[in-house]
Amino acid sequence: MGSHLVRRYITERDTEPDPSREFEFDPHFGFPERKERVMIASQEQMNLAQLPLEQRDYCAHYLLKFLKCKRDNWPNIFACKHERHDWDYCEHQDYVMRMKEYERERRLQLRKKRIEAQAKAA
Amino acid sequence: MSSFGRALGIIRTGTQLFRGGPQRITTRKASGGLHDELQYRQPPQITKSQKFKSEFLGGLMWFWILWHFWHNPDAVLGHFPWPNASEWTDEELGIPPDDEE
Amino acid sequence: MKLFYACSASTCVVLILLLLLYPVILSFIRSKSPKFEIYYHSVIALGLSFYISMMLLLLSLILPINMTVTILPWTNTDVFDMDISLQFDLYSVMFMPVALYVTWQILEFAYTYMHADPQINRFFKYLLIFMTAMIIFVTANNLLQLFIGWEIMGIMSFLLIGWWHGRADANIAALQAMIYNRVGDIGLIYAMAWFAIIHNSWDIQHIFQLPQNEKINLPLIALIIAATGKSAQFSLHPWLPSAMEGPTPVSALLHSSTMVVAGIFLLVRMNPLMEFNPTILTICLCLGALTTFFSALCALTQNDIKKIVAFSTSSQLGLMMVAIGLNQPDLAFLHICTHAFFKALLFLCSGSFIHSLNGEQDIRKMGGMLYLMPITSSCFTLSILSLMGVPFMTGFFSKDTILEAMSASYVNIWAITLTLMATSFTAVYSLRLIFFVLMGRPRTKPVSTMNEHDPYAIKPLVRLAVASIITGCLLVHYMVPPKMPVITMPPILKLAALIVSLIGFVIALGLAFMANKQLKPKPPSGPHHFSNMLGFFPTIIHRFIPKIILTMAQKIASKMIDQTWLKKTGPKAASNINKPLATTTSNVQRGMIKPYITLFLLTLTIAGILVYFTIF
Repeated sequence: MGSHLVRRYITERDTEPDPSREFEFDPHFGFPERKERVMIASQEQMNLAQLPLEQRDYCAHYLLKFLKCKRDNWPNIFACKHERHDWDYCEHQDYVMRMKEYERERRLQLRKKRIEAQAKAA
Repeated sequence: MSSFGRALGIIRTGTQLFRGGPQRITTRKASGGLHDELQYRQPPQITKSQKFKSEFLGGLMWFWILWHFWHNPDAVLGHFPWPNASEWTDEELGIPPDDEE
Repeated sequence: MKLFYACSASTCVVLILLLLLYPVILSFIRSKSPKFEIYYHSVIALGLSFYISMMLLLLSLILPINMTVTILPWTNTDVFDMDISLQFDLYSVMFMPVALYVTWQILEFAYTYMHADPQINRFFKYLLIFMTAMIIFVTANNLLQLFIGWEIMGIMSFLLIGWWHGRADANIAALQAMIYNRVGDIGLIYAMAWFAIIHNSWDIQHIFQLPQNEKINLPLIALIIAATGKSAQFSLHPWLPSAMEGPTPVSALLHSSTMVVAGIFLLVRMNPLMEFNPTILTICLCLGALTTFFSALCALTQNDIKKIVAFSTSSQLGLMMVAIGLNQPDLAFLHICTHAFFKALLFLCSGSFIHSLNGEQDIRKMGGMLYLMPITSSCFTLSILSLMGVPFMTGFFSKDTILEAMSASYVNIWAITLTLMATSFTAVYSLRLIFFVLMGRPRTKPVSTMNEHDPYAIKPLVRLAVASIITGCLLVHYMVPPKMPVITMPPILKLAALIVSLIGFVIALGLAFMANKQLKPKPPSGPHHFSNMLGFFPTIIHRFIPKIILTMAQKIASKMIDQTWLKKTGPKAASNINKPLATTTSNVQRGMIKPYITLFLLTLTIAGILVYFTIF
């Protein structure tokens, strides 16, 4: 957070992306081939489990397993540590992916700036 | 277990209430005065059981904290390692070199 | 299965309400009841209700958690339908056992604390009515039901703060609470009116389906005002410390654990309306951060034990508001639940000290309690550690998560800084409490009737202490949050809350040991005045504005109306105008014949001229 704040407000004010805005570059740019992520839990499964909208993310299948385990182990609320950890880990991976997207956007912005500077100098 | 005993106690008192109304229960007022006798420049008399109870509560707290710290340090120290953004390569993130368009 | 859950859940709530109302109704039927009759009835009612609500909680683990049950239609017209309906979701199902457990313990404690009060039956009756209102409030699926619960709680707060109405202070505090709450009530009424006029519905589920647009900002701001009034957020906060005039069990129940969180609870309930509305969320965030910082700052230099705890409550309420502003209502709710336990315990322990010291509330006159009242001291320390967020105590699970979510988000950096500073202040005033109350030598009066032999006084403390240790863990394991809090963050952010608390603790410890040496007395500094005078807020609001108005009124009344209008332009002007005339006339009349003849001739001449001109 600290480095982000410094870059955002002091050193790289023009290139640091704003998280509340949409990213500027095409997700396919720079990749030879990029696959779209696949949702594992189906709409029907999530409907049956009555998941709220916020939880219908790419980790929903882990959440479904976790909820099922919780229900099977009723009323032992301490059970399902393992399933919980799987879900958390998936969410963590998801977060890291978003971090990577952010870092990509930042580097692309930096690159754009460098290219523009070169064009101006030339 | 104590809560179970408590529940039983409540049910017992409830049945008493049901049978005889509260008149019988009010006699509980007599059990134990609310103040000790006056002490002048004396510490209050603390019984052993009081001391034990207070130490026990503190011990319970420390046991709880340490036990969880041993089994579940993630909650304090962080669940997963924080990735270092500068270690990601340009290929990984799909950044073409500057001269390429 | 769903039907079974619906039936059992509504049966449970109705049973709880009936159980709680039974002693109240009983006291209406009987004209004269023995002294502690209501107490026995109400303790049993609360205990049974607690077990019933626990059953509901366990049931909700396996069954669909969100459910609305309509019990009976209320008014059904062509344009406006209203039903008595109950809502069973995570919030209502989880809050009921927490509130009932805390109330149960506080009621038992009140038996000792209020033992000598002649009207103790009425006291317990008030507490029960309050609890009923709270349950109506949390289960309401209808703004009117919600409002009924809200208002009854307000009235009970007024009556209980003014319990010792022989004292002027208590009356003033009660009135103050009423008036500040009234501002919040107007917010709620405004929001209700808005929903009724624009959307023809008071049903909360209907309201959630409104289109999300800019227009909805108005009722949402009204709701925030309502929460500000009830939950003592900055600008409407002074009533909460004043409310400490009430008996300590009342402070423990209403003004720390249950009633004051109603405002936050309202916002948690209404969160679906505001979750995509950055303006409203930012307002909540900044309001919360300001409250938590300001209250913690005020708590630093107070000497009244109850005032310190009250400000700490206000500070924690600010933290809950911050969680709402972060769009994490579940964390706010979790903090409501955990806070109820350790704050109630903190109040009860303070009450126990105060009771043993014959009503002494000044922490400078306590000291050495560790050796005099060991059990209460243990509980006191425990609750304070929980408040500070020591790992794996109850407070940790909610407070630390809120702070983590806050530092990991990209919201206002000032809000984050204020909240972290408030966290370190929490450690400072907590240590100050421990240092003055528990450590050192006794500074009490030599005559004391201290004891811990009475089981009625000790049992509730011990039970709440155990709850303050373990419930956080239980609740976290029970609850699968609908909004996932961030778990990925750098270690420094993960540990930020702990580090900040630790820094505050160490600095306070250093200061405390420095302060016990005799130094040359210095006049207190400006920042001390700021903190000690509660940020000059009461002075400004309660004195400055009325003073301006009174001065202006005085100016208008005395200067403008009395002096200018009634005097200067009225009689004075008349006399001033008449004066030259009268003087001239009277100057002429000096009893000499010559002026009279001259006058006579003059008049005659004028008369002659007039006659001449009139005739010809």
